[in-house]
Amino acid sequence: MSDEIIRIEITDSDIDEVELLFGNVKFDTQRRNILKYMNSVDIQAYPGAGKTTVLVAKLAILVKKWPYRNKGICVLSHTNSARNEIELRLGNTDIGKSLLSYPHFIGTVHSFFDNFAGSIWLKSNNYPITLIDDEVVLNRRDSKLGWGTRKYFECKNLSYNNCGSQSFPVISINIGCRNNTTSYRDLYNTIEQSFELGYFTFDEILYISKYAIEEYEWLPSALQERFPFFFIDEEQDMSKLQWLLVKTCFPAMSSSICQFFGDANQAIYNSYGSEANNIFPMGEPLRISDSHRFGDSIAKLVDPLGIVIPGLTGGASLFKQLDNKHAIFLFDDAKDVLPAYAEYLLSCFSDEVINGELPCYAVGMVHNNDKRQIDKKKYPIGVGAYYSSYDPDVSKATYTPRLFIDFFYIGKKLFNQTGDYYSLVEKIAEGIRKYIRVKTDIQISSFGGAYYSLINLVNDEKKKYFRKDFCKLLNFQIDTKEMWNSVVDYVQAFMNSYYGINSFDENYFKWFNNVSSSEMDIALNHNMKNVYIYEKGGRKVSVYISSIHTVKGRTHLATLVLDTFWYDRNIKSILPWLIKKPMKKPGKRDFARLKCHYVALTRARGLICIAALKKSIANSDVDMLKGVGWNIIEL
Amino acid sequence: MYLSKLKLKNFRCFCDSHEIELNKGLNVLVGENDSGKSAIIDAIRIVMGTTDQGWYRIESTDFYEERKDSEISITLKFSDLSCSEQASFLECLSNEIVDGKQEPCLYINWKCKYLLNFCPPRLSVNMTTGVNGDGPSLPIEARELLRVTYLRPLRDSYSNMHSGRNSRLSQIIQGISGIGEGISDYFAGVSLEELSISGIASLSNYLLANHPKLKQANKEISSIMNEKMLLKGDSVSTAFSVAGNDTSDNKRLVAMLEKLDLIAHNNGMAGKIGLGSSNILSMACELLLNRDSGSSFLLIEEPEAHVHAQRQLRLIQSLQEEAALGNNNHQIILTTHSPLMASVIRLGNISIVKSKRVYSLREGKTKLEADDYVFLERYLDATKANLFFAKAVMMVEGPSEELLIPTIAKILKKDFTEYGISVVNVRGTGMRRFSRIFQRVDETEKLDIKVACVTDRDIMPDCAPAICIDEKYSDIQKWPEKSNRNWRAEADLETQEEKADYLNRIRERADGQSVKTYIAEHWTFEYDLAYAGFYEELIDAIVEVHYVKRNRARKKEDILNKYCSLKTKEQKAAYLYSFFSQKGISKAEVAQQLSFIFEKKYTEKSYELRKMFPKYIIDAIDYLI
Repeated sequence: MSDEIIRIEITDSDIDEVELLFGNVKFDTQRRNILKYMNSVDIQAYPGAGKTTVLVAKLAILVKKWPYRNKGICVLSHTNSARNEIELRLGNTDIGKSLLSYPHFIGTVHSFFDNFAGSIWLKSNNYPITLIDDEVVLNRRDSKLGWGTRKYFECKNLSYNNCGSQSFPVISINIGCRNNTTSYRDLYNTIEQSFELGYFTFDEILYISKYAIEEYEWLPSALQERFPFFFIDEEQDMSKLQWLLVKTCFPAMSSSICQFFGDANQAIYNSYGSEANNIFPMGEPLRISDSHRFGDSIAKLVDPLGIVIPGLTGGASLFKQLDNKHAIFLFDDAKDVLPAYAEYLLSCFSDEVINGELPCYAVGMVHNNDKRQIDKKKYPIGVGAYYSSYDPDVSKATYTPRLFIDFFYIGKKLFNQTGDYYSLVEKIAEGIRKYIRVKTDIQISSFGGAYYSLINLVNDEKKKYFRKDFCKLLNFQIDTKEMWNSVVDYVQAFMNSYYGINSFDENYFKWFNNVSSSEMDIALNHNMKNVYIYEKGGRKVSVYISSIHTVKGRTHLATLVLDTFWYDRNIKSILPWLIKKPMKKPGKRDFARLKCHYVALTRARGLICIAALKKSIANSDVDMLKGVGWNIIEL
Repeated sequence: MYLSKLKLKNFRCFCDSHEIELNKGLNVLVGENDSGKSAIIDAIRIVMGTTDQGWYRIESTDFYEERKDSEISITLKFSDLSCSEQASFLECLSNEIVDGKQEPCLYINWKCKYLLNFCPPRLSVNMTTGVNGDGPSLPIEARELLRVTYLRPLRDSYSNMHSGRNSRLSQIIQGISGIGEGISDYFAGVSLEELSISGIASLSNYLLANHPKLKQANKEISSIMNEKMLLKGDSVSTAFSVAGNDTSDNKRLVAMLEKLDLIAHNNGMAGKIGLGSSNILSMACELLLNRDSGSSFLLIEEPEAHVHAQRQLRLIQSLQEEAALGNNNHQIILTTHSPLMASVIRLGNISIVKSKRVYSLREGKTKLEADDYVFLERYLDATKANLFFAKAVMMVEGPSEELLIPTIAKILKKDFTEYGISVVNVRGTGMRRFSRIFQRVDETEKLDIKVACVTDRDIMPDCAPAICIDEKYSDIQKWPEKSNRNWRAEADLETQEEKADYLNRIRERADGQSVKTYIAEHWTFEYDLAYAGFYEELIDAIVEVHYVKRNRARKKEDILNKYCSLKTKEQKAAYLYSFFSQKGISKAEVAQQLSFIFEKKYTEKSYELRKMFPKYIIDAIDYLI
């Protein structure tokens, strides 16, 4: 193995090859220059410009020419965008396989620091690593709190979300009481015990990683040595802490080539409610400007919202006939909005298009149902006001089933799709493992699959019976409540005989009818619960409803942005930019709103719509909106 | 990076979890047969894998006491990783504080057990990283960095150097950097020097396809076909193509290398070289491969096989140099049974393997001081290096003990050779240092090699100075001042306390752990022999050694008469001793004679000998056996 840095060169013929490999992609000069660029740089990519595709193309070429056996390429992203794109584009190729394995690393920022810093520290200091997760870990801690602390939590409106530490190795918590109070001590001790048993939240792993990087001087240089290429996708969404960690490990002077892809206009994860993120781009970025997603008509309407780096341009549009159809619905009653939108969709698109690959969406910035704020003045607050059966948990980016039966549904669904029993086994096992983790003190491994960790808890002689008993579980039908009850009886007896669990939290095992979810798109974690289906005259359209955060990075056929309330009416607040009369000094929250709505309005290939509360928009503004090209529809 | 620690559990003869520390650079494992040396080497190569891609099949005999319900556990720890090695193993590293500094290290945990619910039971192997074995498993590419070059004992080094499919020689040469350089496809106009090795294959294919005879044949085939067999107007042309010309460069390169034999010319004579030379030749090749990569690991079992003494010395020297080469990235672990090799290896590089435990002799592990290492390395020769291979050791200070004690032991039915006991003559001064080789700083890891140090008391009876040094000393008053003479007599030690104190000081020099000191009851070995009543044997031996045959009977009578005329036991014994101190008769020669005499006289009377013989010698023998 050689220690010298080998320059890799990317040529046009390499790019031609990758175009062939991808099939339906052509890279223009601008994109080719980015592919060929071999120094550290930030890359500003506008919505729909296909930045992840550019990134993955670059990875494919690099891997093909990769000269090292034990050094790799590192690609981090906020969500798993890069990994998903690689699986999509290169899934079964040799290039894809080698990219997804040693010595390369493709994953989230969290998993990167977990693997290469946090875990090393924890293992070296004899901490077990049982589970790294937010929901399960925090719920677990919450359930261990004493009665007094629980009362205090209820009183102060605190939740399990407050059960994490904000630093490491010193535990710091923020529950609004001093550190000598019983509640404080109780939570402190609970977190400490949770650490000792190996339960950590994602953020705690970052704090531990920070500590590891400070303590282990050798670590940053080893990281640079290991990863001569370091990419970040969705750079704009990194938190200050993540950014600090990345910069400590890969400082500007490091020998690694660092290329960060992002869109400053779309920084919604961390700027939401906090100060603006000024870390991206650093210096003069390279740009990927024209959108492949939509045409100029949408680009022109939305670009004024991109206040950090304007310059969004459209590409060739497949829906030229809709250039004048982008609409704003003015409503009094939120219940009228979805039917009107659905009707409008049917009028704009043919059946073939509307039932094709691309979904139609209705999204809002606020989507949590906060029951305390039933305030007429703020109506409509969130997405729920438009669609009463909306379940915010389902559309979370990191959706995991809440009830045991959900695991069954998803498992059965996957089984029907693929015919592999593996997915059903794994999903049911996940359901059981989740219960063991949250509700019991049994130490269960997080390595490998759920079934593997379950069976490994059982001693060797019993394993054979375990398999048989688990196998029976696969044949249960769950169409009725009675059927389900027999599943629950069986599962509980099963958990009792193999893990000695005696009492069960029946809430987790309750019956829930989910038959309507027959078209559930499991891969994207959609659930039919949050789909509005409109039928008229034999025609049908499905409107997926979710938060704006969830749809980041996705492509829609049409998007409707619902007016929601966050300290003020959101659409009213961004109106000055919509009508191209921006405020000179936007408020901090306006930045957040603008970025968020910018994201929402740049999803659609064909049509964008906005729903605004009629009384919040002045008549003069309505004319201005018409003036910039919006179609106004009053309900 | 080097393998710094090894932990074995339930593997072969290693039952409980036993920790073995290894040095950077050279490690030489010495010890008797079945002490566990090969088990250590095997454990290392099983976990790390070998560069010849050899496969080790775990057998039930690899389990401690063949217990099928136990789990073999082998843990390796690697220290001192270079930055690029840290990078390669990053996700698997652990951190430790070494001398106050944060240092990354790599732990590999290899476990193997039988799955008993299968019939017949199947083996299950599992490899993880991390101090507690809870880390991720090692990626295949990273494992490659750990492969060891393993040279098995009494291997067939001829076939190693021979051509053939997957020949070891071709594997080694493929590993040389830049081996693939050059033009690999021949075309007209390329100069032959520019061709790579696979280019030569391509050239040969080219020449074959274009050979005039073949061209001619081709032409004839074509014409027969076209003129006689096909219809007018049909036109088919033929050409020879060489099979395999379109295979990849690398395959062609390998095929070429597999044609190679390595032949040594012994002093200009070609032909088959001896076993020993080919053994050395194959080692030279392996070193070539090793030199080319980052960190390397070389395991050699018994490199001395078939190699004569002087070459053994040269070989071990070059291995020692090789291990010190570069940035100390070459770790060589070898086992040997050759005292000759052991005698030239730096003491700190030796580890004694004894009853399934390993005792490193490096500084800080033994009670030897830094200057002791310097001293011992100078005086350790092949006869002394015996002690590393012994079950027990008797250390003596002179040739008489060295020669006579084994005979006595044999008569007492405790044959040193049978019991694997070495007698090491450390001469006048080395007792303290030699004995410390066997003493550990960490008392809990007591080395299970019994060492008996046999030493003189060196206090003369008061009558002896007159008899053995100068007659005038018969008057004690005429003795020089104590500080002006290099001898001591009983009169110098006045009280019992003083005497006890004196003995204690002798003992302190060497005693401790498995080392016990046995001090002559009186003065010296010969004096004590005479004192114990073996005057006849002594006189016979002295006469035999000192006088020509015709004088012997007369001289014997003279000595005997003189002996009997003396009054006390002390005087009598001192008189006999004066033959050595005054007349300069060789103690060694006398001892040799004594051996014959004792063997003849006492072989059937071991009981009497035991009762009569100086007690400290008997005790020393009894301690060892």
